[in-house]
Amino acid sequence: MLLFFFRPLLAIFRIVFSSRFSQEWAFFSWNQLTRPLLFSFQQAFLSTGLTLLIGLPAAYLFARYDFPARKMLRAFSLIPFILPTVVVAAAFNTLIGPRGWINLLLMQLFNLTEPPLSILNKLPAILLAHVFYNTSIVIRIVGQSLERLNPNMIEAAYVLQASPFQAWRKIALPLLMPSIAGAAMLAFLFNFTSFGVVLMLGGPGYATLEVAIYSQVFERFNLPMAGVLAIVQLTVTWLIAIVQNRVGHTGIRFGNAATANESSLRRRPERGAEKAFVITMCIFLVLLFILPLLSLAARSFVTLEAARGERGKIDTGFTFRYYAELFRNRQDSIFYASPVASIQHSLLYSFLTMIIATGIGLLTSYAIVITGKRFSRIMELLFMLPLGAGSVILGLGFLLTFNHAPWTSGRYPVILPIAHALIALPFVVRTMVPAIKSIPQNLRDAAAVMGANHWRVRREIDFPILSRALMVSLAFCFTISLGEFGASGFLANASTPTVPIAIFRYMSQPGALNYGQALAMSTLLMITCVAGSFFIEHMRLPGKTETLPSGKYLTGK
Amino acid sequence: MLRILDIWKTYEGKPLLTGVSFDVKEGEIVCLLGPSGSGKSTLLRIIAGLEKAESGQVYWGNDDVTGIPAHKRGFGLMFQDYALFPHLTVAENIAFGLRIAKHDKADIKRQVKHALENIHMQDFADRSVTELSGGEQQRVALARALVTNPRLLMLDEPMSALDQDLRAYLIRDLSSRLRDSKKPVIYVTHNRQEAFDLADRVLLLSEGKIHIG
Repeated sequence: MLLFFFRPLLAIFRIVFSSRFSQEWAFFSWNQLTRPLLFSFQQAFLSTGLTLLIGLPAAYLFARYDFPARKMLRAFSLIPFILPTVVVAAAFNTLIGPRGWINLLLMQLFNLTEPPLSILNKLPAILLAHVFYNTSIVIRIVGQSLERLNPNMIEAAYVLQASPFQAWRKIALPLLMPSIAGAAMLAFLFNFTSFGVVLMLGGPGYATLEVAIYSQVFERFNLPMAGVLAIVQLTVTWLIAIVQNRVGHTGIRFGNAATANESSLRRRPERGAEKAFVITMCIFLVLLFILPLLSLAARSFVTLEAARGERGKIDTGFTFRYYAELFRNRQDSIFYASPVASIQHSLLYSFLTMIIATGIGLLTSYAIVITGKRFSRIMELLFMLPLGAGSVILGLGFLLTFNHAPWTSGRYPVILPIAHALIALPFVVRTMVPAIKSIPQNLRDAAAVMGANHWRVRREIDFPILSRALMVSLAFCFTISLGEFGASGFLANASTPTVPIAIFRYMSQPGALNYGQALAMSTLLMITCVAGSFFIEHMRLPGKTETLPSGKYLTGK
Repeated sequence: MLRILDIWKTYEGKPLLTGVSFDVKEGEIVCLLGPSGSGKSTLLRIIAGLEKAESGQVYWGNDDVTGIPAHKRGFGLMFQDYALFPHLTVAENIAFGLRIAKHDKADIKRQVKHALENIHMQDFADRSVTELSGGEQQRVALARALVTNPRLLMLDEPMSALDQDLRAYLIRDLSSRLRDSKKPVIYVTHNRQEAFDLADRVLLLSEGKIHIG
């Protein structure tokens, strides 16, 4: 932990402050700091506002109404959570990009030669993707407290002569406020630190701090400046996290008084206005959540190449070619590695991540359970820190610290799975600790009385009970490592890219084949991640697990 | 005063109330006694306007209030779990109904002070309701229900959240407060002793019908 988290962090500070005396901060430019900082805030405010605008009615929809396909739609609305950013970027590219479905449709309809909708590489595309991501946070957090809001609270207000509007305004809203504020802060945090989405959907001139860090390193080769940005970013995110933590705690003040145990307030919509609300929201949510994913999958099977010399005229057809090409290593390819190689690398990395993270995570979890309360709090906090730092900063720190032998001597960057493991560790700990706590001590005592020694007890009692939680941990590690983009962007060798890196490269190269292959890989990655999350959600775990505050890192930010 | 006429209600497809009729006279305390699941609370909620009956009427004097929403009926209801608003202080909880009714500030202050004196909780005004004991919560809930001067007061199992020792003491206390209020009261309970200690008249609700106790 010290070696792999604090040393890289220290390295960032060192590179900033050591150069201070030698070069008098010649690397420093206010402009390069304030522009991404302002843009980070600006887009995060806008994204969060839009997210609430859509998320709050959606949360209400799922908490209060029963309608056909409710379960399915809700499941879909939670999918964005686990999708890697490259997949989301690719999906929105196929929907709203210049060759996206919407533009194609409009061109067909109105006989246009140019794509009429051009929001890709501009702010609206970024906002759209952020709304896509974070609406599920609002649905989850606010929806949960809406479902548990004691209906007597509202009814008590009614019998005290409050109109339905007054009851909502004066009772329900204040009671829901902690969760609304909490969800908003979390969404803001994710938006503020957005990397992959902004890098791939925002064009030049649209850089958040994380994207700016990346371009300082790889385009301007100005490491000290990247360090400055990283420190600013760390300060801001930790400040937000502290406030978020505070806000979350005010909810506890209300105690259980405001929560109902069994209340299911869901009912079928009755009045006309209710029906209209449910139908509109459903259509809207299908458009927001399902359309981009379908669009991606569909586009990966379709050729759309402009016939040579004839602008606007497009040959379309169904094809498996993009998938077939994934497994071919073209000699004339301008890329360093074939797609199938990147899949192999990713699988290798995620395998290593699984071993490292679950190994360390299991030991840590036992340590947290066995030791006293205070120590366990410190431990939990310590292991959450890498999450707060963000994967780009982790990547930068690792790059600065481990960019020498023995770490770089092998063909594969061994530090990459270590970085992934650091990101996955909190998920493992959060899964394992409640599971370990759930094992009644008397089971172990009973086994011991029957003559089992310490290790035998662990093997015969603990392990079988924990096996499910272990499986879930492994699934977390697997999906996180597969989709991780921020740290990987810094650490993957040019010759051994991961799948998200390969998708990023292919997307940014011209040519229909490259584009198609990127989409095919994105689709495969999407399916894998959805399957992984399905597995995680449907494994019934011993002990109470809240997988929520995590989302961002599953998305491979 | 209050007249309930032939109320029918089904719950999850099964008949719950099958033609319930009774009335409550001015200043009378009526106890509605019945086993759990007999539909007592549902009946209260129908009278309060929080739930709709499939058929039947609720009259106040000669006015049919069946179609009037809860917040316009002017009936008070004390919930089984008291439903004190956890984000408001004791005084703010009591003041809530007065604020909704747009009393002026000085008047609200005076009335809340008076209400707190009545329940001997003057020093609790600025406390959070989540810090109160069960008995204290009950008193605040009663004060909150009475301060708006409702035409009718309903209490849904007010003792069920309290432990046994407290009940015996509080039942006398509550009884005298209800009598002092001089309001018609419907008191729902499944405890026979409680019902007979308190009521002018006990109605037994079982199998969807009222039986005179």
